[in-house]
Amino acid sequence: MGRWFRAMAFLLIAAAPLAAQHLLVPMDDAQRNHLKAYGLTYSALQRTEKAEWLLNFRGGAFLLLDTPATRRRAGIDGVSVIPTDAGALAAIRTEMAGGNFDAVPLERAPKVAIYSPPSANPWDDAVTIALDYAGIPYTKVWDPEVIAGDLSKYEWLHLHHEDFTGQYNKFYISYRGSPWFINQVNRTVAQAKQLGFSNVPALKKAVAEKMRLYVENGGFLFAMCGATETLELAIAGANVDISSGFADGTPMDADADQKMEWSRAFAVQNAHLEPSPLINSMSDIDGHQVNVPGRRRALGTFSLFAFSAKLDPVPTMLTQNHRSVLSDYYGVTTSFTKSTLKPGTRVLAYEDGMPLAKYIHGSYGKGAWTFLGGHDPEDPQHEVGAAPTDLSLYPSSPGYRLILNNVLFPAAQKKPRKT
Amino acid sequence: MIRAQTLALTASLVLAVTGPLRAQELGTAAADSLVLRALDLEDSKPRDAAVLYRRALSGTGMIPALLGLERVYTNLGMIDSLLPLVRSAIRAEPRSGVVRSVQLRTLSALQRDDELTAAVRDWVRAVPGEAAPFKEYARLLLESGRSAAADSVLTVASRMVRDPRDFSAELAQVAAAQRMWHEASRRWRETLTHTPQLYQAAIFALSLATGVARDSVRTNLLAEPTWLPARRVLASLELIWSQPRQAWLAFSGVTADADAVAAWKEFAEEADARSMPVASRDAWAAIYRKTGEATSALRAADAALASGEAATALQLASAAQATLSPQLGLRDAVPLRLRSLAAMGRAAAALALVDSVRPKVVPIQLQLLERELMWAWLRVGDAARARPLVVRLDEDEATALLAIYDGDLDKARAALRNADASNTLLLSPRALLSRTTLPMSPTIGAAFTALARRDTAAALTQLMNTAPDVGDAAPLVLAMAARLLTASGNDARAVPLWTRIVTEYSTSPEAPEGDLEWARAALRARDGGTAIARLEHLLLTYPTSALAPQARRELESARRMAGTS
Repeated sequence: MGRWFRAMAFLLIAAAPLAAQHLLVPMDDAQRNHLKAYGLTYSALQRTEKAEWLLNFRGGAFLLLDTPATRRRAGIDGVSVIPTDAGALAAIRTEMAGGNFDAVPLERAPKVAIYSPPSANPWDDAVTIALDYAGIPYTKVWDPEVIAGDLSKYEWLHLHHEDFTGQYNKFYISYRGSPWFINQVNRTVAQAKQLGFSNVPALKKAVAEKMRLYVENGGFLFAMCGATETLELAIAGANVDISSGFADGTPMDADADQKMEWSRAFAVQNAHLEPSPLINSMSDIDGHQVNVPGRRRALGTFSLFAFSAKLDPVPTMLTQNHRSVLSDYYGVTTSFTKSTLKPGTRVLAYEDGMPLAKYIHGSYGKGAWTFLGGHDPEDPQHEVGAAPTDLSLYPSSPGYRLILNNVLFPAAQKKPRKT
Repeated sequence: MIRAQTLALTASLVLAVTGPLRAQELGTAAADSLVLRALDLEDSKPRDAAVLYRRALSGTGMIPALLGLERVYTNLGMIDSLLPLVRSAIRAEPRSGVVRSVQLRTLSALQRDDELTAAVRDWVRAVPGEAAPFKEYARLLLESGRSAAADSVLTVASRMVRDPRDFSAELAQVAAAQRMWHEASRRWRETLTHTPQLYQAAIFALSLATGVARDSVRTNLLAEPTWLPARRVLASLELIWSQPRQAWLAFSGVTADADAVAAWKEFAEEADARSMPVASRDAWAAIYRKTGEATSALRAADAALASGEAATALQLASAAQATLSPQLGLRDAVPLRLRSLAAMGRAAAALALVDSVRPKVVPIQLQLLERELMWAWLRVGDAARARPLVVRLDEDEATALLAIYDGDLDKARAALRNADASNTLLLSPRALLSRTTLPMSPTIGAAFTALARRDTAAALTQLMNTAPDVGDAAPLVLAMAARLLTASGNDARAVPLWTRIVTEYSTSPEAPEGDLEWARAALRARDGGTAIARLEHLLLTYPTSALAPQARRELESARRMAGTS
């Protein structure tokens, strides 16, 4: 009996590797399509297959179960995968145990919402482009859904180009005669009235407050471009008129700077509002001021911070990349002046040689937020009306990887920060 | 021993002290001689060259000697030895831009940033109001990848110099280095208005723009008022960006004066050098229309022929012949007309042309014309008329093609062994012969003859009849038939053939193409599901196929059509 039991036990152990084959998705330069690799991982999670994110290992590789569905999708999408048996996996884990690596289990495909108007133009949103290309499903939400409290249905909310101060990104100055701008204003004004608000700034402040509550209650928020700065202003300026006359019929409160409640904001404190309606800038939060010729800073590069994978898994996840220095790109808000950041704000990437952060993150209540400056990582000078970026030409874009890191971050099993 | 060392030391000191004194006494001829000798020694004996350059560091020899020392010391890894010499040179000529530039380059190479900025300040003080110090400094910063710092230097300097336009080229370079293409192209356009000779620099800088940024460049360079140098830059950029059709359009709206014609000629030569006949054809044709030069018409005809527009080539070559002397017309225009007629499949007209000039040409010219005539007959599949010429001229490619028409596959194989591999008429026969061992096949001969005669129906029949007999080449033959059907829009008959290739010959080289064409036919029929299935099959079954990237792109379209992701 004992001999029989030992023989069976041996057989079971020997057979285990056959049943535990994995696919390693390298994310270093061996990967042919980094962006679709995120979609591949997301699809595995959708099928409730377990996955792991191997932080700092081969550019932030993913470890997936070797299933026919995963192999099929990898083949169709052109994603490089390496079949990995138990022995190879053991070697990987041994290597990871001895260095700045960690394996984070990914448990479920997060439900993604993108805050975007029904009539969004294709040049408006890099995240929509990224998710479409990677094949990650999402739901579009807009003011009515947010006001109705629908955000609680989602684990991940993305904001891009919206101006939450209700001033239409001050495009009034340059584009007031353009048909697309006139349509946008008319639509937004009508929407505000329909939802019971006296003007657009009031509506946008209410939307911003819903988003603040969403994060406070445990949601993940990722914002880019102008949404970062204006969301902060709308939240901190909830009880003060921060909009110019063209938006709400009354000039900005002359003492608005003093009345801002920065304790309510996610990332920023003690910023100064731009009082002139004729200067295309919201505040001194943005370090590049691309639309103000006298203040505009030139583009350079930005560098990702390296974090301890074992001690700081969250910032490590958000900065996984096969490049550490990236070319910069403009947006309505391109960067964040370091002197305006709250002490608890984590700088994930900084502008080289300048007192500016490009990519920041923090916790707020039970949730977390991440801000990335700039509009389109592969279109440095993005202009209104420009053709949308064709990501099939940039399948390994390191800038777009930062966006997609945020999509998978909520899928990770939460670990408290140890530092 | 000690005494000997002391003597040697004394002697070296004397030499060291008297060396400069002797150098100061050098006349122009002596200094030039030293520099020339040093130049000869730079590669073989750099240390000896350095000694000579140092001796030449006086009077008229100072600048070339200093530049020579910069090269030699750089190669020897002794660039820091240059600094004391440069300081002496600056004391002698404090306003010399060359000497100051050497100092800046040296300090930059040594990464002594503080000393570098101090040297720039000193130079600025020596030449108040001049742009040179800032330009050199900005250039060094740009070379070291510090474009933001270069931008700051130039922005400050613009307020300090007499004419801020002095910096326009540098500011444009900075903008390009920062990938601010809208700004860069705007600044280059401004720069070209007062320094049009910098257009090559503009082309180089702006050529690095990619993707949608190129549209910004186009917008600025096409902006009104129309400005020839800006349009010239855009035309070259379009060539570099592989947009030959757009390239010539860059000149639209330009007044056709002498300057424009000169720019067109330069552009046409560039297009020829880049093997872009479409752009070359348009440019040479425009030059011909403006100048009436027969040579331009002939260049245009040649380019038209290379771009597949034989009718245009014929028209241009005929027009050129009308203005040329009879002799030149026979030599230059007639061969082009003949090649055009052959390319158009007008073999009878080609024969008439050869007959009309036969009495006027010498034998060697006639042989060249008959060669074109032979290819005209072969191109239209007229083996009987081609045969005597093929036999007489004995060319491997022609012999092979004629043997194919005859169905003599063994003879074709033998001739192809030495034939020019670039002949496009032989591509399909080569592919077929490499995959079948049949020695003879009248059906294959008939199929290729029908193809040459553009008799699609007969070609299809013969190809379908041939397929069962050619062994491994069967999928190739079926694919040839399917391509004919697809090209004529007959998806109903083409799809069964593509299906057969994919299912019966799944390991053949034609199978991925079968999947792709099947998918395309499904897309044309608005059947997104089938298209997705075929494209996915292609990607999963033939992941290393050259068609895989294209299949991925078309899969995205198919999914959009089917409403899935």
